[in-house]
Amino acid sequence: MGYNWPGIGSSKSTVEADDLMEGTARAELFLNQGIGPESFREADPVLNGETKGRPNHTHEGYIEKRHIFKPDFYAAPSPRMEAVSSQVHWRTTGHSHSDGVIFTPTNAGTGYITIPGTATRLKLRDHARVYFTSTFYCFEFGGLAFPKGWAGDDDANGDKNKHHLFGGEMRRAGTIGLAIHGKDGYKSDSLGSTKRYVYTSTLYPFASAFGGESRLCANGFCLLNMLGRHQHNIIYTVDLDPGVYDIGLVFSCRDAATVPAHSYVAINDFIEGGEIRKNKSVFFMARNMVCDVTYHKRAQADEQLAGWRTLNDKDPQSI
Amino acid sequence: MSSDTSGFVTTAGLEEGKTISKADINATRDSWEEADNSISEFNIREEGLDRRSFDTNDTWTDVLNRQSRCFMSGLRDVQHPLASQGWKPIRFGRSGDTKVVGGTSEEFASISFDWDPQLHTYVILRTSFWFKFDVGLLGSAQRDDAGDDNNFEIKRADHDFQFGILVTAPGETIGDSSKNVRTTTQPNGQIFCPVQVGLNRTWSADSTGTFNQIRHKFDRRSAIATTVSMVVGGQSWTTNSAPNLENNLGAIDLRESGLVQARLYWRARKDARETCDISGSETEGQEIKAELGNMQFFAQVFRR
Repeated sequence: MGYNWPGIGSSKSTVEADDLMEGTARAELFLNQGIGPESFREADPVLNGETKGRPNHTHEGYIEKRHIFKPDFYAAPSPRMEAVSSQVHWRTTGHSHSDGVIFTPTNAGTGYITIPGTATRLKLRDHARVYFTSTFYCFEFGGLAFPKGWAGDDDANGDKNKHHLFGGEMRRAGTIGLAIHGKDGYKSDSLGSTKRYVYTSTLYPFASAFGGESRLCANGFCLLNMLGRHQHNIIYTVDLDPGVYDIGLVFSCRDAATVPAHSYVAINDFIEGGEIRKNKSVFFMARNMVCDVTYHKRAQADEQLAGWRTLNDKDPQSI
Repeated sequence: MSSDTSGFVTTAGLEEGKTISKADINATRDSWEEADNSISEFNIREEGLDRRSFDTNDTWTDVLNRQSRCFMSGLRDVQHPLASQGWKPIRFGRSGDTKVVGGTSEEFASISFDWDPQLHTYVILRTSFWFKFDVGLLGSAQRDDAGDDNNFEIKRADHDFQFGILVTAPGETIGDSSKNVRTTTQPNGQIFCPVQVGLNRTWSADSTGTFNQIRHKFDRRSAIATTVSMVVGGQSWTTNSAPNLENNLGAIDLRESGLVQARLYWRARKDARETCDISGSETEGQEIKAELGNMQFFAQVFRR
């Protein structure tokens, strides 16, 4: 459409009010409706010195860095980026033992507890799709599991499931999963589609390699191996309504059952044999987490935000 | 970058107490006309793009629907394919049992999404699930087998498994796709990012100490128990990292529009399904199945 007014013709010797109104109306029409592709001048070519980082660009656009609302970057203890239409949360932890975290049934119990360095708090202004990805290295150490051959020579006549329970990577030491807790009611201690399992690593020798009367813990020997050390990967995606959510990996130790240590020392009648735990310390190292959040629908403030703002009146941080 | 402000409009000759001339009005008119072809970044107010600029959901919404993601919460015993069967879809769900939720199938981890190169630049397909197979249970379970090399060799050796993501070209169906791993010799193969798991012989075939014998003969028979995770990406344009999408082992060629389908596949190395033989016991001849589940499989799209 463009700007289309021929101006005041050369035959006119006086300027009339209609001329002014016509000119104003044409300018109004142009500004309000008439600006089209042809109204813009050709974009400036990108100079050689300005092509660094954008090798395929030939012309400048009209939107420059100064027009973009800058994202906010936050560092420790909760590194994240919060932008106009998205958020990215991330965690990374080294592989050294000093960076590791350890769970045992004694100090952690058997409930689900957050694995440090794999969790974050999301504050969602709008409806969002969340993509959670994480990876970590973990293993059990200190417990003792029975080998397949523990059932002995008479296994053929015994319980048919004897051997299903024994052997490497068979004695579960704990369960990992993804938990989401939200103030608006979305809660899960451990989502089923994200569960992973850690097994006792160390094995006994054969049941009676040294005879049933050897009287030593694990007959004096156990097989410390690397087989039970795994790199795990857990991903998850979900649509979340506006609100505040805690999202991250959690771990639950298995209860501390024991096996006889075969170390009876008959000093007197009151001393029983020693026992060894079937599962003990579980280490988590080299932990990484990235949580992408992309908004996809505006929140209706009155309906969707009011609920979680006031849900917990005991929360001093309620909005 | 220039500082060309030719898109600005200048009003000429309007001063209090003076005569308005036709020439000034026409000069103003000329200024408007010149601006019509010269609007540039200097005509735009620098308020920037903040959240208020996103007036409608149209600007934001591009989330793929439920068919683009699926999951399975439980675990299920699954019969593994034979080597002769090649690549087979992983049957995670079963009627009357644990089912796959979302996606395009209750049996298979299978997803689809509409792809439009005009809107979409990249897609990442991710999957992660649990896999377990008790290799140590195969063959005779008695520890007397420590002296029976053949039994171990035949029953427990070579239980290797390979997993991959099959991705169709836009508009193509899974039935018409090539069930081969994309390699230089199989440029039309549509199974990407294969990963393999298996046990060292020390933990499977010769696990009672006859191979690499340990002094005190530990019974090392073990299960494979692991996370399987795979990631593959596709894109609608060539980049420095994927300069040739027509023959590419990494990024999938998504320069055409259409429905893209993806499904999890697997194959096994063994030619026969072995059994757990415990002479005289009720478990004689019992087939050991793989345990699969705790699965997530979804597509994440990045739009232009």
